[in-house]
Amino acid sequence: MTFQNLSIRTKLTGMMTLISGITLLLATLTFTVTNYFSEQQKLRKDVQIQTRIIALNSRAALVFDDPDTASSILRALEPATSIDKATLFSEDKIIFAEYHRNPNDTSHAQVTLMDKGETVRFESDWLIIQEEILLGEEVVGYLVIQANLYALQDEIGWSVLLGTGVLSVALLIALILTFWFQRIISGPIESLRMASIEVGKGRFDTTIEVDSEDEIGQLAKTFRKMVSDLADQRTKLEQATRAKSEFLANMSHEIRTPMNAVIGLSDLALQGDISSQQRDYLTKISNSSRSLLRIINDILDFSKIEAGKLELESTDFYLREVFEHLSDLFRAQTAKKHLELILCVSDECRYELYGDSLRLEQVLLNLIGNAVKFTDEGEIEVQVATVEESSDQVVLQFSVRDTGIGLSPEHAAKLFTAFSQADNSTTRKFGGTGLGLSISQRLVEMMSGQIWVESQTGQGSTFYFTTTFNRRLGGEEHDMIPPDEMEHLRALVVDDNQSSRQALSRMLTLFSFISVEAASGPEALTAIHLAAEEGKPFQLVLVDWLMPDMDGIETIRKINNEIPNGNKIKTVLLTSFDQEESYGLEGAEVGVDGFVGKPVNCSLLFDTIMDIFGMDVAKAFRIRQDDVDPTEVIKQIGGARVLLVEDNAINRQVACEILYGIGLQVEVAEDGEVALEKVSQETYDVVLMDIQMPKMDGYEATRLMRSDEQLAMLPIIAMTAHAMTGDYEKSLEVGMNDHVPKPIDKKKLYAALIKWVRPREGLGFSKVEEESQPDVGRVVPEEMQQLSGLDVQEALDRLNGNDRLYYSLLSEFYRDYAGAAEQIGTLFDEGEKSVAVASLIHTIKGMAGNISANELAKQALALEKGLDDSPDRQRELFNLFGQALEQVMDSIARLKQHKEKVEQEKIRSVEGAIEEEAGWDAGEVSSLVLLLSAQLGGQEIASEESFQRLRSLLLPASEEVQTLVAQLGEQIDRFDFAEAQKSLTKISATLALETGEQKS
Amino acid sequence: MNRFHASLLMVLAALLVFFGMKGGMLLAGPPSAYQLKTAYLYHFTKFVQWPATVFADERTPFRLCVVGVDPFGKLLDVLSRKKVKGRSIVIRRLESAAGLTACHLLFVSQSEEGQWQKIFSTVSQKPVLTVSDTEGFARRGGMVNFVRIGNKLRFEIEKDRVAEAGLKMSATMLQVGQLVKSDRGSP
Repeated sequence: MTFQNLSIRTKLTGMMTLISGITLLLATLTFTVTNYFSEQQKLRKDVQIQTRIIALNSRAALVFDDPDTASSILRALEPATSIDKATLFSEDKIIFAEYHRNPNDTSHAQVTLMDKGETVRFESDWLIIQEEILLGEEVVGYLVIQANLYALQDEIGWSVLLGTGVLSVALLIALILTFWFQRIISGPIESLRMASIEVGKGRFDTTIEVDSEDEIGQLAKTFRKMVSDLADQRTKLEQATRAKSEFLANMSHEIRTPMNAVIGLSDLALQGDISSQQRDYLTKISNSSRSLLRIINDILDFSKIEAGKLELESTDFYLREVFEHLSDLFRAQTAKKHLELILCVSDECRYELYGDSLRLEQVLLNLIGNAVKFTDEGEIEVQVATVEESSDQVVLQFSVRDTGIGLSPEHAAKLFTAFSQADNSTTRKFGGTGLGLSISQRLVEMMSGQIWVESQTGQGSTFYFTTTFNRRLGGEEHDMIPPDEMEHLRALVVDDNQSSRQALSRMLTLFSFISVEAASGPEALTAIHLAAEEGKPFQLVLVDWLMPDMDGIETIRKINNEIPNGNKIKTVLLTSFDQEESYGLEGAEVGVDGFVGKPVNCSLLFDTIMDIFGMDVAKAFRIRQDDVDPTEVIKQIGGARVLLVEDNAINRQVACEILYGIGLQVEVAEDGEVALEKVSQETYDVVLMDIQMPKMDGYEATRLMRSDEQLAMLPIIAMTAHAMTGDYEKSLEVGMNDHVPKPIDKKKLYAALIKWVRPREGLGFSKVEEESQPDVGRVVPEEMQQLSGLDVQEALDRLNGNDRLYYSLLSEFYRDYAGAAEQIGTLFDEGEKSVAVASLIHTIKGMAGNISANELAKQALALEKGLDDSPDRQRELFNLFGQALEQVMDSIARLKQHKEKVEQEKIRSVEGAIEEEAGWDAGEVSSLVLLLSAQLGGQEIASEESFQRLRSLLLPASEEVQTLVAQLGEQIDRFDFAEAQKSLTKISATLALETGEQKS
Repeated sequence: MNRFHASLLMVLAALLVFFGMKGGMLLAGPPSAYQLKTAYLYHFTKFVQWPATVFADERTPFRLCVVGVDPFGKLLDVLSRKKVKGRSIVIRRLESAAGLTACHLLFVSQSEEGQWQKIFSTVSQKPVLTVSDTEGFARRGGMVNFVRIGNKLRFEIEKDRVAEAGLKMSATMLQVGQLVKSDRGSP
């Protein structure tokens, strides 16, 4: 750590300690040195004096040659402890007398005379003083005294010790003082720093406790002001952001309402009887509105991310389910562009993960969607691999590789920036908001991962991203495990596309099979030959249908016909989207055992293989919640009583239509208050609750319902806009059970209804059919009374008398299966039977049950069971089945004809009536019609009053109009406002027509 | 500076004389007893202080007298070249007691043993340092008497006599000499 990085406190303390330390050290040093020299000087003087005295005293002894006396004189030095030795030399420099303090000390025994000039000398531990002894003017001898410096050194030692002691104490005091003093300076700095950290964390209410008026005090004052300015700014910003969020949420709600109407109504219109041109228009409307919705969702997602409001929801999921859903979603698109979509299933797909599978799916959807968009030929491969694994977490790397137009480095660099696509021309050519990748990037980052791309212009691109999920160890799914006898089954994969081949191979390996690959039909045949010769014959061959030179059907034909025991090998043909139907026939002809659509769905492949080997194992393919079939809903919860709480008339109409469509009894409430009133009076199976409503919103209504003990268990499903307000979380908080996004996604609604409506006596039409005969007495419309092959009474009982629903079911059945007899007949004529046939018959059986074509259902069941019987018996059963089907179809055809005729007649009679009379106040009528429409939309009781007035006004109108008005009256009485709206529309159309005629 | 040089030169000269003498004696073998005694006599002049009144003026010489048979022979003449505190030394050899009082230092020869009474009474209470090498000299009225102890030449001192004569003898000399007491009382 460098000095610069130390805290000011440490710096100050350090500096002050250093300064006082140096000062003290210098003082001590000076003291010691001075002391040393003065002590030395003193010693020298002392010794010199003693030397002089001894010298004087020893003169006589010297001259009179008396060493004894000399010695005794020298001994006078005894009290001088510092003098170790004294030597008296005679005038001829011979030792005359000596004195040793310590007689045993011989270390300096040899004392020599110094040069004449030198009289004082310091020699290591010694001070040596030499004195010439004069008698008169004659030198009579010399005295050399040697003094030790021990005392001096001791003195100095003590002095150093004392100095050090004083120094230490002084330093300590200095340190303590420094510590106290530095707080005066660094204390405010420190509190300023702590305050700035707090402020940095966003706590703008932090108090800054600096009160001095010095520089730091001024700094603190300025800082305080800045913080308060910042807090103000933030408050403003937050308000602005909140306003923006609310605006977006509101906008989203406002946009969704009409979108709901457009999508819902165009879908409903598509179910009806319409011309092909109208169907085309409506399909386009429906698709465009869905695209628009997607774009809106993108923009909202992006805003949500920008606002930091997007939160991940964590649920348990299997990766395989995500992959399979993706393959379903892209099946049609990729088939249309003749692209090969390969979703590589690996061990990772079995992990039970915990995380936001929907957001993961969104990222993959985006990347695959882009890949499909920018790839004109070739393939798109999706892979997943484990990058890092710990006991409870796993980092997965996904890659989406395409063979599309690729990206230049410059484009790749700014690819993840919002609103940017590869370039503007790309935007023009391919469309899109350019938000997808940006959203994906943020989502990936939220899942603790990163996203990047590797690409070259014209070489395709590969998008990678990593995500971190919690993993439940031991939570691996146990589906897709074949029975023991099928383990290590030998399988051959025949596909010209390498990636696809490898992916298939990997799936088979996942099923524990031994997989071998072949790139073409001929190669496959050779491989089969070789394997048979080696005694390891293949038991299963997967063949791609579309291959150059020799296609899949040809290959399978050759396997069955040209290879010995070839027909023992089970074959699966891999078809592209929707080809199964077209090639089912041909496939069956050459002996295909099963079909699997590409992109290959792992669990469907498994189920198909298990099927053709006649294995009875648990089906791996699970119906996703949002893939619920409407007939399933009818079967399970048909007749359930639903309270629809929705303020918007159009939304109400759409929801009503959808709910009627699945045979539910719907009552409506236009706000929370009305809903509360209704639930207290009647019993419902489920409540569909809008959130934003006038008077009382969905939250409040739910809260109040939940506070009632009797309603505590009532399933309440929120209808939330997929927006920024966190509706879903909040809805769960107040006690709602689930939510369906708006615009209403039918599949999700079905799934939610099936999940939450509790089974009870009388619910579900299949039960009714099996268990009890309903009360007879439903009014069977005239045109439906003579329908042979159909038990209309029973069907209407089951559908709660909803003849419209029944008619639409019949129409659908007619549309889908009118040609079924011929199709099956052809197959039988060829003497072949296949999975396709069996499945077709099975489906017809189920549908026949739904529409109460009981005879047909019976015959279909018999035929299905008899598929393994002798050809003659089969033929016989098929004829019976064919007759029953024909009868039903004839009946439906007649009914349809009748309906159409009635419509035509109605129009014609209207036209006729117009010619007869037109004597009403057109202005008042049209304003009444508008008023009534609004009232119906709002479901107000006041509509009765308006209706009476309208009826009286329209008394002179045509018979057609009268009929419609009567219908309208009945509908209003039944509170069937949706139908009433329709009638009103018809009335106004008829009137407009008539008025127009009149004027012209 | 000049004075310092001068004194230094003088010291050197004195040393040369002394060493020269000694050197001569070394060449002639170990110093004889009288050689030593000559040197001692000269040294005595340095440890004894005569009252200033004994010298008439600055040029008054220091008188060293030998009474009786001179045992030194020519040895004493060496001293005539020396000085005592700046005064030249005059050697006088005396036959009898006459003129004794003019001496500053009087060596009483062994030959005069019978004449002590006369000599002592003459110089009594006079500042004359009496020296001899006759046994009992110091005990019987003399002041300093050479004696031989072992192979060393020592001397006895009767310091009361010295003090009576008004002479001041250095303490260091007293240290070296052997103090004796006179047998009789005051002369």
